[in-house]
Amino acid sequence: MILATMAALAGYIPFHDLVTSDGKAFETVFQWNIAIPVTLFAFCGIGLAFVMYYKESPIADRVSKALGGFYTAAYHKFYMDEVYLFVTKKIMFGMVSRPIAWFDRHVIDATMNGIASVTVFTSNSIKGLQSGQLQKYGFVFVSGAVLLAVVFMLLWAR
Amino acid sequence: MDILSLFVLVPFLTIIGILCTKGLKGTRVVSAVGMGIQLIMAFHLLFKYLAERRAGNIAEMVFVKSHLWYQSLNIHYTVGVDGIAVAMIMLTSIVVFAGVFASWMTKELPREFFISLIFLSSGVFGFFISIDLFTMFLFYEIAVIPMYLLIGLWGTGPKEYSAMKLTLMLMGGSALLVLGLLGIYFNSAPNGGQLTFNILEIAKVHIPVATQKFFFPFLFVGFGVLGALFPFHTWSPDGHASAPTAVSMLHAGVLMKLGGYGILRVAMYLLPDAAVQMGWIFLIFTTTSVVYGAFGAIWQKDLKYINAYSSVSHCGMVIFALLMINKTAMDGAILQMISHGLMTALFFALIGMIYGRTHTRNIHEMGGLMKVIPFLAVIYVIAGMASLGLPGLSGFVAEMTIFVGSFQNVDTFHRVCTIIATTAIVVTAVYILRVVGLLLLGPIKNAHFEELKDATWYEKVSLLTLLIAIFAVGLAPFWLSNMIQDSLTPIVAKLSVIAQ
Repeated sequence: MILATMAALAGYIPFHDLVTSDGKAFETVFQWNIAIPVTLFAFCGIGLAFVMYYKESPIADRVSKALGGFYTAAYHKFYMDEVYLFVTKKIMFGMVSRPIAWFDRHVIDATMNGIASVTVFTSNSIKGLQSGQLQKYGFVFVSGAVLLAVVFMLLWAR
Repeated sequence: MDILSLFVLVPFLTIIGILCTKGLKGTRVVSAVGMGIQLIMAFHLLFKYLAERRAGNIAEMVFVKSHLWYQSLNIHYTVGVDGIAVAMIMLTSIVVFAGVFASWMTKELPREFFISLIFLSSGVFGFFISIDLFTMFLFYEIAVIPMYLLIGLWGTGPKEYSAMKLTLMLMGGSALLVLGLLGIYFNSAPNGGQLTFNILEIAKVHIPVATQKFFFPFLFVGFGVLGALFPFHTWSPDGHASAPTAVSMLHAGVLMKLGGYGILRVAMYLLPDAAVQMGWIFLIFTTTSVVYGAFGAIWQKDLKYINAYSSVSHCGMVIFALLMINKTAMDGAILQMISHGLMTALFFALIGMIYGRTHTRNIHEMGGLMKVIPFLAVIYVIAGMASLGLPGLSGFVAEMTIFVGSFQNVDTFHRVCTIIATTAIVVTAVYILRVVGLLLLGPIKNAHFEELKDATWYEKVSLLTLLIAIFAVGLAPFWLSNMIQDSLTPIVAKLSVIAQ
């Protein structure tokens, strides 16, 4: 009863004054042309439910049979639960998140690890060049200088 | 000693204090007192900053002090703050203070652990107070490098691999930053005169557009690596999963924000033409980050991995909002940095506390924890609600501001990016509610869990510190938002002129 009373009175709380994004009250206009038909529609629903369910009556069964597939769909809440499970489990989890997690681990992360592996491989491959033999260093140095000189001479000759 | 340099000095004095103490108890007490003083100083700075602005000081940066450091390259130790920096200092102080209490039971080399943690925090404070690019970069490195030791020594799982990966990737980002910063320095006097590293002085000159466009990607990606920008985010899940609790808190809560802050303060502010002209390229990457991180989180089973991927999404949102180049979205970006910093620190603290009790982080091995550790469980739910943007908590304010600001861009490209990014809100709700359901609700899966003890006093101090801040930002966001917006004015004005 307490909750019902509060629910009935909650509409009188001026939320448009209290909840605001910019400190100013939200301006509202009462739309009678919408409010009246909607309220009447709600009362019709209450009346219809009263006629069909207040006392045991065959009307409800007859209506449900007459509506056929629409009644079945409404009875199953228009399959919203099934749609929700399909969207979350099959699409979000199975078709999007799982491939993304795989892609992240096996492509993005593997690329970064691959770059690291290339660095290690290159380092291993060239470490033999550091032999400590001065003759070898001298030979490489002079060869490089000669090679550069040849390249520059060829370029200059053009 | 100026008020800002104290933020670097107090951590060093705390470290000296730790070195002078003996035993675990002394180390804890000195660390808590030191970081407590730091937190009080942050509040003092906040009130002093607000008073300064109320008194009519409209300078871009206040409390500016400069000392010549290296004359031949015109390097100065120059400090100063605006509203954005003050907000980031507040965030850092809160997270570090909470982190000290979350590490209360560190028994393995506690003195070295707390020294490394506090040393790292000094780098973060130094970064936020610096307005000289060289000094800023120096503090950036101080903040990044101790991470290797903290994860490598005190981490769990494949800690050596994770520490190496995190450090190398962040150092790769640093290498790009050096190139970008030197590019700015050598073009800081296009009409002749002395070259400078000072942000305020560089902001007054116009660097040639071609030069801006050459160096902007270096700076954006360099800072973006730390901000977990897709596809350079892979250090984050492994690094966070292996890091000890307080390090995860500090890293995700504060260190990742250096990326977003750097992009705003350095890349976009100093190279505005390039930011406007090339922003769309990076907007594609950040939009991808936002959605990719959220979907990546769904499939994870490890709590830390879930939070790490969630951080990729949330930090992506920061850079996404910055690239929207309008005041509302950029205000949202800063609010998101603060909100995510608090939320993720709270999450990592909780994950560490839960792991310390259950010895597992696999969500499928847990269940029914609400019955045995209700305090921790309720805080976990509140943190989750903040993450998915429940009104009244910090996440709502930040994300709402970002998306309202993003929608102010009327062109199709920005609208499409915004619509794609907003899907992350729904995805976030999915993985948060899924974890809450699996972890906290249902039957207790393991008989050993029934003997678990709820939060201790020091854990409560850590959690409540962060929780109060989350509620404070969520319930009274306008003072913070106004402070940030005022400081964004010169940055947005500069970018807007070019955008038009």
